[in-house]
Amino acid sequence: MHPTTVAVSHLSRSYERTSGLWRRRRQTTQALTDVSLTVQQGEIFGLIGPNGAGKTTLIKILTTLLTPTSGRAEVLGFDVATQARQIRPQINFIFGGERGLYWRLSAYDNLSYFADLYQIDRQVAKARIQHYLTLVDLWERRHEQVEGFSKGMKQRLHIAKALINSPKVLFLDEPTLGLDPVAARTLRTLIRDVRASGVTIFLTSHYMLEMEALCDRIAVLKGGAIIKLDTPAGLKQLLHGLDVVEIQLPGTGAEVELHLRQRPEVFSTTMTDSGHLQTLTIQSQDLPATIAFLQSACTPFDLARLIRRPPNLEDVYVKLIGGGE
Amino acid sequence: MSAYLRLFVSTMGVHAYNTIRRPFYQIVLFIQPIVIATTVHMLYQHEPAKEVAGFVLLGGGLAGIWSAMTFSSAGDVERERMQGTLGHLLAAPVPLGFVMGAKIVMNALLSLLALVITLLYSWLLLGVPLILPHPLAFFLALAAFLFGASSFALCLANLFLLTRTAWIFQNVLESPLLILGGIAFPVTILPVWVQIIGAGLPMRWGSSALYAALDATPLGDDYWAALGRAFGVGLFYLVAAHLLFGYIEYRVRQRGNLETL
Repeated sequence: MHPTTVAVSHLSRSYERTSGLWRRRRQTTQALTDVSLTVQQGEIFGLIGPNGAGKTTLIKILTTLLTPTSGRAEVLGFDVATQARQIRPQINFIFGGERGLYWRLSAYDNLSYFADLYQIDRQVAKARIQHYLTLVDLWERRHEQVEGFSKGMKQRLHIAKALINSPKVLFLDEPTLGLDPVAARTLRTLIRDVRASGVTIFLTSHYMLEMEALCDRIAVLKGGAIIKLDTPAGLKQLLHGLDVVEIQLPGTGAEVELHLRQRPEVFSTTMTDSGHLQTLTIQSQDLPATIAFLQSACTPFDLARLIRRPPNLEDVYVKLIGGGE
Repeated sequence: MSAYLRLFVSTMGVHAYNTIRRPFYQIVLFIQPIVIATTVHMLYQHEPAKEVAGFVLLGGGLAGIWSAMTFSSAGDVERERMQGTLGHLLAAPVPLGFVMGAKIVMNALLSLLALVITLLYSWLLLGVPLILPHPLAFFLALAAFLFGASSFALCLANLFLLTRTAWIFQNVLESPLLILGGIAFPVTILPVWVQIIGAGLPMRWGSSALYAALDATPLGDDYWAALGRAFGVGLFYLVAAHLLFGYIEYRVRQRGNLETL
């Protein structure tokens, strides 16, 4: 049995904002509501949900940047609200995007400074900087200023920075945001390597295939509350009885989707538009009926691009969240 | 070297490297002292030589130091916020106040350049005699001024953590504190109530000690009293900053606006 690394119990968090110059109006936004979960050592735990669902708020609370409004959260057995000092040396985090680095410094100097911030012995730090810069394939460019780096290089440097203190828990908030597919794949490999060394990873991303491939368990957040928590396979069981088909349509996607949404057997549809070609993903409770409709609504040429595929996490997300954000 | 000392030195180094590359800081450090020294020289050129020397030599230099200090306390918090590193500093296992303190000390050291530029410019181009009748007392008073200004700036940096419009306060506070601190001209010519407010500023006493140290007559009680108050008031602000940081960190984590732009 792996020890519990993160324990969250009935956690809630609200933000208060005031506006108005003379008559101050107070507005409260509920970011998290009664969230409870546990994460075991060495686990990759995922959080998915639409923008504003509370993913970043939860990570900021667990990284001691925010205090909960109510409830309790522990990391490595320490309370995030009152024992931040004990938690901070043992964790690290990445928030997606390019910020969080000193752009005028070189990659090496950035890591050297962050090593000093974590009070790592100079000799140990030197060895770690070389190791992690090599791991993220930046050793050859270690003396270049970060401002000249591409987005992918900055993200890789973020990973190296987050590992500099050998954290026991690593919080990654959309680490592959904006990366090209090759850079994202490199990062995913890195995340797996880090986990293999026993580090617990708390991960958020909007890329469902990535989450499905990486995470041991995933919590689905909506409106600040966990609406489902299970393994990727367990979550996909939610689609039991649903078939998923995809069809590519040249210009008629919106019209066909409109008709599909009115059909009783169609559970949901999503459409991605790549200019002249739309890809419709259809979740159906009665596949023959849906196929029959598509045969009447589409040309034989369109139907040649119809595929039936097994449900994936994105389909689960659509089912749980409802397609739109 | 202890881990804390290494971090202090490292923060100062990183800060100096980043700071001197900023065009605005270069103006504050290199151009502003010359502008102030020229202006003050024009204002005081018909006054006795002693007044001219004091306010031209010190006025420009100390104004440059103070500008650099407010620049550090507000601007540095704002820059860390903009580049997304403020959260990383807060979540690091060392107190944020310690890191901010190292930055402010580095700014104090860098700002000495403003004084050196003023002294050289005034001496070589404006023809103001560069005479230090009490060099030891002068440098002691300068240390007191820097200590006081640093402590005060540390308190400001604390408060600026709570607001995302720190740069506005930076601009608003710079000139009033130059006047209240007796940096640009003697605070004694101001109304009494203004002098009372100024007495709460360590820079007011540091600048008084510096002006007294430029006086050719033997050092009197006024010098020692000003020096003692400069260190005393500076110490008060240092302790206040230390106590404030715990509370400010609590408030920042509670409000959740640390990285809000």
